[in-house]
Amino acid sequence: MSSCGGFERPSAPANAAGAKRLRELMISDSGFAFDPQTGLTYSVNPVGASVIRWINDGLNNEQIVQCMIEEYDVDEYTATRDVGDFLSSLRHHTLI
Amino acid sequence: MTLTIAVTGLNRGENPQPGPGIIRSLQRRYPDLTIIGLIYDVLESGVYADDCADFIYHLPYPKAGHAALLARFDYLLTKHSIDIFFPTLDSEIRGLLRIENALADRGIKMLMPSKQSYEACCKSELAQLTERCGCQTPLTYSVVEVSGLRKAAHRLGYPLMVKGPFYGAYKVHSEADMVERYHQIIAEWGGPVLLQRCVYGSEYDVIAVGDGQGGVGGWCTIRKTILSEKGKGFGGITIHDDKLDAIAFDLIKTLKWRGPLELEFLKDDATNTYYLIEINPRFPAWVDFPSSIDLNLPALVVETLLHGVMDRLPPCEAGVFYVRHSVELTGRIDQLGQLSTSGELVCRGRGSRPPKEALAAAAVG
Repeated sequence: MSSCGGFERPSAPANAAGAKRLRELMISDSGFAFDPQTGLTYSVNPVGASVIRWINDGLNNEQIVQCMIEEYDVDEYTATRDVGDFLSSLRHHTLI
Repeated sequence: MTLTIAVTGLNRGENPQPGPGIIRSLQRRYPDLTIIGLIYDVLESGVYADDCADFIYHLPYPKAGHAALLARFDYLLTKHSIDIFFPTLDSEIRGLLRIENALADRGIKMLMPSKQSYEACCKSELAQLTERCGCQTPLTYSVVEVSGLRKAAHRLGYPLMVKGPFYGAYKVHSEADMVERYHQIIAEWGGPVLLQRCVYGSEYDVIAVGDGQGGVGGWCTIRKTILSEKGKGFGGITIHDDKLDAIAFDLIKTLKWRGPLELEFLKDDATNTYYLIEINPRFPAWVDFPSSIDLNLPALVVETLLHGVMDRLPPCEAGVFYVRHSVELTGRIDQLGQLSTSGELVCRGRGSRPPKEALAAAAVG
């Protein structure tokens, strides 16, 4: 799946270097991720892998929350909280 | 054409040397190769590995001087026609630069840096070099007497790194530790001793072969994933980082480096800045890892020496890793006796060799 809806692609993200790293992240089907620029490895669950895919498809935060609600059948509060937490984690690892 | 290649540094113990990795890489490309293993100690582990050298000869230590070394090569040449020599130890390079032409006159080729390049990459010169290249190295003081230690330590603060001119790097947390390590390094390797500011972060290495004109024939970049207690990389994973590659290429260009080298970097976790820690003027112990993924740098050196031009190899794929695996090797007392008393040992036909590269298989088939 490339994205969950017919959203418009937003303008370039603020952290272009981080966005490039996220795009280049190699994620296996089991959720094991390798950053070819730093050599660091991560584990992501299927929801996290979907969020990364949506970011790489160019969706903004609100659109990602909407995708999460549709894809994983969660309420808006949970989706907003989980997406926010996950984006913080990506930011912490300078991946966005 | 059957090549005979001499290689030093056969020990693969706690402080692994590059010799066996170079030999394995060459055997991947040239199945009919004859390998002369040159050793300084009869217990260098590679002597007892079935897939290592065909013949072993003892070499005089570098401190014996170049006349003794040349005399030993003259003796070796009465037994074998040596086409190429791979020195692999930091302590050998300076002396060999003095006899490079004498060895060439005897038909032995080496791919070595110029004396100027070599001097510019010494640990004590890195600050100047990085300034010329616009990259960073941790603040470093070169010390030749104990009184200078305290002054430098006061400026750097603890903990700090105490390093030898060729080998040895120790993190020290106190003046007593620092003085002890200083004397240890002076006793083992001589001076100057370097005191260096600690940088905290991951270690990255670039292995490359320079063409002597500023170009790079082939390179591989890894992040070290496993470090031994001595700080040796017992595991690593290939990466692609344009920023690090650009720094490495710039250093090689500035040095006009000819031959193999290893660039060691630390990436500061807080600032994402790469700091050049060391340049080793030879292949590292992990040289066969890139060869196993189609980046055979020792073979690139051989081809360059044979044909006079250096090919350009494509970069290797990111996300491939190695882990070092130690095994016990068996030796017989008669082997040890022969090597200890005569300084030479025949090992040919003892065991299996690594799988040939697709390139070699295609050439044969």
